[in-house]
Amino acid sequence: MAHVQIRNVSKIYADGTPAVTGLDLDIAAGEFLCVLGPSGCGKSSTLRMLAGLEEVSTGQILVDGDDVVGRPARERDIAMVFENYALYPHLDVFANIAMPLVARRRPKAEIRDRVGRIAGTMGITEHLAKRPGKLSGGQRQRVSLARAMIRRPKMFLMDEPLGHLEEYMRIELRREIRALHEAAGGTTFYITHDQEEAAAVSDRIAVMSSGELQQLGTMKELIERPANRFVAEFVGEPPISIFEELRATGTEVSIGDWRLPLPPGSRKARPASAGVRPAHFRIAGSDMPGLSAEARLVQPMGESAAVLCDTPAGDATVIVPMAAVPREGDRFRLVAAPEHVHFFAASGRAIRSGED
Amino acid sequence: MTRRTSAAPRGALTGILLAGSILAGSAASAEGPLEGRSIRILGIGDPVFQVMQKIHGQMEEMGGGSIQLDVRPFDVLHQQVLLNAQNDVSNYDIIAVDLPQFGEYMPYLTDFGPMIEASGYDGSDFHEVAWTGAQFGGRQLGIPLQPHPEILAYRKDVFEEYGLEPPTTHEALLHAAQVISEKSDDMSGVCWNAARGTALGQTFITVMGDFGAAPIDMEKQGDDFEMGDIKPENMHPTIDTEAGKATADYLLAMEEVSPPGILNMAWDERVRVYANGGCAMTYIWAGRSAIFEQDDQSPAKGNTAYLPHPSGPGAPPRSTLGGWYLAIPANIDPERKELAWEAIQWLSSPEMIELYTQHGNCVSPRRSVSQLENVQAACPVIPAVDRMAEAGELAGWQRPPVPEIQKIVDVLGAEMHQMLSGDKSAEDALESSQRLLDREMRKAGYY
Amino acid sequence: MSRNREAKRAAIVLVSPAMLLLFALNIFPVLYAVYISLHHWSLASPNPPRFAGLFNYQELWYDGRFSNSLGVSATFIALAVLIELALGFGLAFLFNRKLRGLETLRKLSLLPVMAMPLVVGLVWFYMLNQNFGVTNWVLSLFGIGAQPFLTDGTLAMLSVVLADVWQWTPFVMLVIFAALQSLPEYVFEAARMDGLTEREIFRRITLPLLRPAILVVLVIRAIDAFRMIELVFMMTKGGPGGSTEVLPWYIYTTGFLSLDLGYAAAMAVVMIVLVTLGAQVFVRKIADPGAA
Repeated sequence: MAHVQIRNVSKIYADGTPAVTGLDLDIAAGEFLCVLGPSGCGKSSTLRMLAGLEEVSTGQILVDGDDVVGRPARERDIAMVFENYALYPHLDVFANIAMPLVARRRPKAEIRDRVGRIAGTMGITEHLAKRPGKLSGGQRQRVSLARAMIRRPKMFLMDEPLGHLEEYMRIELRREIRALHEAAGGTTFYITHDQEEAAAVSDRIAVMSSGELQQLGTMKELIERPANRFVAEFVGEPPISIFEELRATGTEVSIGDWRLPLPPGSRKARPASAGVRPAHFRIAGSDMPGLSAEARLVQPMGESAAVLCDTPAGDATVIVPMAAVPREGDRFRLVAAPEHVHFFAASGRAIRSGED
Repeated sequence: MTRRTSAAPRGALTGILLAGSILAGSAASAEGPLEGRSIRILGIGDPVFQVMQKIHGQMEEMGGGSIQLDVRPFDVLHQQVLLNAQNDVSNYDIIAVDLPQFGEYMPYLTDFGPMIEASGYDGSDFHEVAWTGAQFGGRQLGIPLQPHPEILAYRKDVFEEYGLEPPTTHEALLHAAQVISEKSDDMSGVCWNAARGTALGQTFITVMGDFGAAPIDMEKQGDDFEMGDIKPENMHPTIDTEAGKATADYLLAMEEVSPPGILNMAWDERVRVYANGGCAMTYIWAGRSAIFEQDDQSPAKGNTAYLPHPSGPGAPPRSTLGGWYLAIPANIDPERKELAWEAIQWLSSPEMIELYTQHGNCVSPRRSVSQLENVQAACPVIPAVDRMAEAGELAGWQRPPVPEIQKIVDVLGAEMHQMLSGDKSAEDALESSQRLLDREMRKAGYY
Repeated sequence: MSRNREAKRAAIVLVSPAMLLLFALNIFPVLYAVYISLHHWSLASPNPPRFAGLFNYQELWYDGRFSNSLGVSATFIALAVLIELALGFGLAFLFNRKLRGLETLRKLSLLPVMAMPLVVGLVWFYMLNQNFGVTNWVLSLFGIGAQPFLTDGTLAMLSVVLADVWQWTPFVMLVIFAALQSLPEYVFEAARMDGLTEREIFRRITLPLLRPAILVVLVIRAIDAFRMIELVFMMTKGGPGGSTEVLPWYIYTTGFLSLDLGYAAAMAVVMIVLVTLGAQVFVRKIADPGAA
């Protein structure tokens, strides 16, 4: 269990492509940190720099205060789980799991014992004599996890470990991963582009884009207080409704025909766009103050439905319980509490009350 | 590759002249003997056919027809002749036959006798030993094209410098070679074929001939052997004999005064090393002397004298005659037989033989050609060979014309190489050669 | 039922041309060689072939030249293939580095493979020749005396091996290089994360993963080396003594020079049997990666 600090780390590839720019990230000992972002956002590069598989261009990585930059992977005491499992195809499952212990020259008896135990935990005891080629994807990832968990490293790195698996398997395994993390008590750095998965396994989530950290926080914080428009749009399902055309007049701002008080922080930056999460909209009668809307498309989602509406300010989505779903063509107004309306400056940065 | 037997006898012509008269038929038509027809020849990659390739255009013009000349390495030619013999109709009008191969090819060749008689052809311009070498059981199976002997070439100037006698005997050769090896920094005594296999095997039997002995038990006829009628009881090998032992000892003695790498030396290399001044003597198929006699850069040019194969104690000098004859396959399309005969008369005519000598083939089987000044200038070896022929110093029995000749050569080429490499004593090598060949003859059913 | 039978008949009709071809091209020649080997069959002899039973095979048993050639072949194969494998392996790893200029060098290094073995033999014959070879001249520049490269038993074998190594190492390099390139990068990353040192990675991961490629190249080269005849033909003719007489060269001199087809065929049959048995062992290892 280690406290990991990433200090102003940048990665620029030999061809000049910047992958990570000035990244600062603190991972507390025992924390499960997810990095979320679209492909190409720099999350994999970050993980590989932590692992020691990729060189750091500038900056420091401190593990319990030690700068590990330049140290080879095997001296960092870090275990990793790969998206494509990265099992040794020529070795059976037992030998695959045992490899980290073999590398550390543990006695045979101890190896047998520990492999047996972790295989039991992972439910793969019956496959120990098989080669990875004979296993299903889920079984392979269990082997890969077992190989990572067989020892107590300072940190676990997981690079989209569930990316290649089927939906039901993902849900099952992410629960197990979380449980394993808690049992092992390690520090875990977990990469995914699946926010539901990130929310399910992690303590905190770091959102990255274009090589930069956008926001670090719990899922609740990301949803309720997105630091910028990217985070607001990237996180949340269905996606936030964004309104580009705002008219600010004195202390008020209009979104279409919906007038709201200007947020206090907007004295410094003028809001350029606003966003409301579909779950935060409510449907109100046409006579109420709010954004006039007409239901265009209803997408049932089980107990509730997402209703896509035309409004004077553009498209908007609202989530409604099935019992109250409007019919297509119905007209109504959309309202939301002021604290649920997010304003963004032209730079994309969120305008917050209390920032004055 | 392979130019294994490079032998081609080119003999010297024996008799005296009567030049002229011979080739009546061919020289006749101004259009050329081929008269617009096409002739198919299967040849060997030896100097005479290489010359034909070189002057192919000129020859087609002279012949007045097209000449399809397929030149093959020795082994391939051998196989092709035998395979062609299995065809209903031969694919070739004319084939090249090496002197010792007549025994093997006998059943597959056409007798020239009736054609010679019908056209009044006169073979007396050819050296007698060359002409009669292709006679078997009263049949003339080939017309000499490039019969020549394996003889000895030596550097007159070097021998003079050290005051040495011409190496006419084994003893004289070894003595001279020793003196030269000791006194000269970069010149060795003698170059010869000691490479494993056919090269050394042939050396063994030609040297055995220097002792007046043949590798099988043939009938003695004066100093020579009866070759026209070899019977099964003549097939006993005679390797493990006094002559064989003397031969082995001579080879071992020569090895001491040979250039480095002698154990890998064969036909091409020995002439090249001699031509470059690497050795003072070399055994050589006479026709190949063109390599230095026609090379202005070579120190051997003009400084070379030629002797018959040096002889062993008490034996007369005998140089092995070999080399190429033209023959007509027995299965030739009868309608092409006359054309083939016309073409052979032309290809072996004095004019053509003379032409070959001017392009690097120092062989003249015709006395009339050997007398020509330009021929003697280009090929000093020709008059020397002529003299040997007239003195009766050329013979073919060293390589008896029997089907097993190659087996004999192969066994000797392997066994004697072990001896020269020091893996086996002379006695052992002789004994096992004798045993292997004896087994071979029994297997073939001779006795 | 009848449809089934029809399908079967169609299958037979469709497959039979391929089977016939296989028979004509692969099996018939071997059977024919066996047939010849059971006869006294000399192309040089005017007598027709006659049945000899196992005579030719019995002869093999007593033929010192035959057993010598087997030993020489084994030595040649072992030396040539092991050296080629070692060098090819090293070169493959060298070329696997992404250094500037290596790409061109790698392409150039393939030139020997494209040369005709006969030409290679001729070139080496001239280079190592003691009378006009360049090798001894170069040695003399360093004050080393002329070496009997082709006429000393041990040196001649090494010279033939050298020519073969010169020609075929690039091929081995290419196969192993291709195999190296196709190894998944992530496996090596996993190994590094698992704490293996570079040397352990090589021994525990790289080598076993290259095993199929190594076995394949081993089989190809071993069979090829067993058949090698051109270098011996051009360079030594099997000498000195019999120290470089490989089996194919003995077969060649027996069958094509002495034209004793029956005996040559018997040797060829033995050779086919040996190659087939040897290859089986390896092919089985390749097919069953189980035994790691």
